[in-house]
Amino acid sequence: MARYAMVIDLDRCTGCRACMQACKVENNTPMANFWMYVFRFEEGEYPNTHVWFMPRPCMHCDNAPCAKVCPVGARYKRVDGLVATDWDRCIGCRYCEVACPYGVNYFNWKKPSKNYYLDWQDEDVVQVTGGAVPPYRNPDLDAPYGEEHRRTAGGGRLKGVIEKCTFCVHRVERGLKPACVENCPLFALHFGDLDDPNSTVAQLLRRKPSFRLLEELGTEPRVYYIGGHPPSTESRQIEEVKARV
Amino acid sequence: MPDSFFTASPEWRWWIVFYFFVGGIAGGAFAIAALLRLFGREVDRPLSRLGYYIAFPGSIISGILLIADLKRPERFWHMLIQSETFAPAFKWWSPISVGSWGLLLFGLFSFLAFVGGLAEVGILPRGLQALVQGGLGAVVNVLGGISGFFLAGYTGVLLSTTNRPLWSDTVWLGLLFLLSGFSTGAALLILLSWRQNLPALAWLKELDTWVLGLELVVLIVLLATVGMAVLRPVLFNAWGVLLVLGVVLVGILVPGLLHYRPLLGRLTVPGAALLVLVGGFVLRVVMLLSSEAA
Ligand code: SF4
Ligand code: SF4
Repeated sequence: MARYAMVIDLDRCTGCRACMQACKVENNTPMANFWMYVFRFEEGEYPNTHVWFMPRPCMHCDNAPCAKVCPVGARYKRVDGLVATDWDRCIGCRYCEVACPYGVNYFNWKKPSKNYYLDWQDEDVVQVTGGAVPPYRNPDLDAPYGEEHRRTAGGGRLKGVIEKCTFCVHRVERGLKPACVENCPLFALHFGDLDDPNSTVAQLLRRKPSFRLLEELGTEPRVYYIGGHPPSTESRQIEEVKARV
Repeated sequence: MPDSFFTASPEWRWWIVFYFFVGGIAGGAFAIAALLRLFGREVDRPLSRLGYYIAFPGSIISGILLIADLKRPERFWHMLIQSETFAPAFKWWSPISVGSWGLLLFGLFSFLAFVGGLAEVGILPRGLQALVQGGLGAVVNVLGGISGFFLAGYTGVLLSTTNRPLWSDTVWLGLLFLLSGFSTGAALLILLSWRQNLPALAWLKELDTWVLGLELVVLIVLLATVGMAVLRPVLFNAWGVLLVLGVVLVGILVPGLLHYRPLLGRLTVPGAALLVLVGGFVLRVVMLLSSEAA
């Protein structure tokens, strides 16, 4: 069984946010939900400032606080390391959201179909598209995944349940990489099996020093950062996340 | 950068505030009733019955409030039964899971005691008074009292197991809520029984005074140990003012004083009890909403 992980090269990331866009398209997430989010930080004082970017997917923690607190087992850790959400089991208590130290959970307060980032029925949109509706609902997202055979990709999402990055479980199970990794134009994102010494992630982690976010909390994230440093009290966020609906 | 830099608020609001408040009163009232039953005298029975009458409706209201906050309320049973296998769903390491079982058990024992109490006064068949008397009554009181204790306090532990400012920065919330559950439970018992001049009333007032004192100590320890980096964004604002005025002054110091000096004449006893209830409610409001707003 693979032991999946992501390695993010901060030296390479230019903050273009193509990963965020790719995630939106692939997973059709509702408006203002960013399963992948790229933080923009600034440090130092003018004129000696330094701007840097930090992509933040779900960390798929080995010691996931979200999975621990979920009262119904809707949030759980798979044997391959992916942390999944069973949309059919979630009761909407938001405990995972508040236990996660990384802010990666988004709650569907509204019916997601009413809240996609582009409403194809909207008058203004129809003027441009002539009423054409793209096949934006990926059927792969509705299928059950994993040994547990549970609906954990984005498609089953409902009003009143929580959602977050799935590491594109529907792609990974087909031998593909997550959409963000596939679409990063700078090769800043890498995904693979830590147990395979020839995988890019294993090689990068052997070659370069790495850190994980808020490592001191003991969550054991499966997302490693190389080529940079963790945000500190010196890091100012250039823009606030406008991500709650 | 604080641990809570990335985190988001769960938007637990009024349903949960009321749940914590009502659950605390119900649990506290039952625990006091059970103590009176197990260690009190025959003359204390009316007061312990009142505790049962508060606890059972309180457990029902608590369940309703808890479910109302779920955004898939029709799936509430997932907390007790696994949706695919129909096996019991119990995660001892998840406070909500343990809490829902605790609430269920509390509901069961408080129901049995409620029925036993009604049987004692002749509303239900006399045979059912065994539920609160003798060996069976002792079992119901002990187990109900323990689950009442648990219900009053676990809500604080639930908040501590998060990554939000204030909640995750202290281990004292559980004890604080437990004590507040006791004081508000005692206050409601006093409020509903003061006219009857029951013999246990003096004991109840003394208990309330002691618990209020302890509550103040725990609150001070909590605030002193969380550190300025947390207090500044969370409580150095209107919430902090509300905590000092609504909880410390109105909910603890003034009723504590009233227990010794009858400053309000014949309304001193109910007045003090009412203020304790107000303070207990404001405590839940401040502890929940101040962190949510930060
Ligand atoms: S990053 Fe948050 S949501 Fe993802 S596994 Fe860790 S605790 Fe859970
Ligand atoms: S919101 Fe859903 S997934 Fe999250 S803890 Fe509650 S039941 Fe579990």
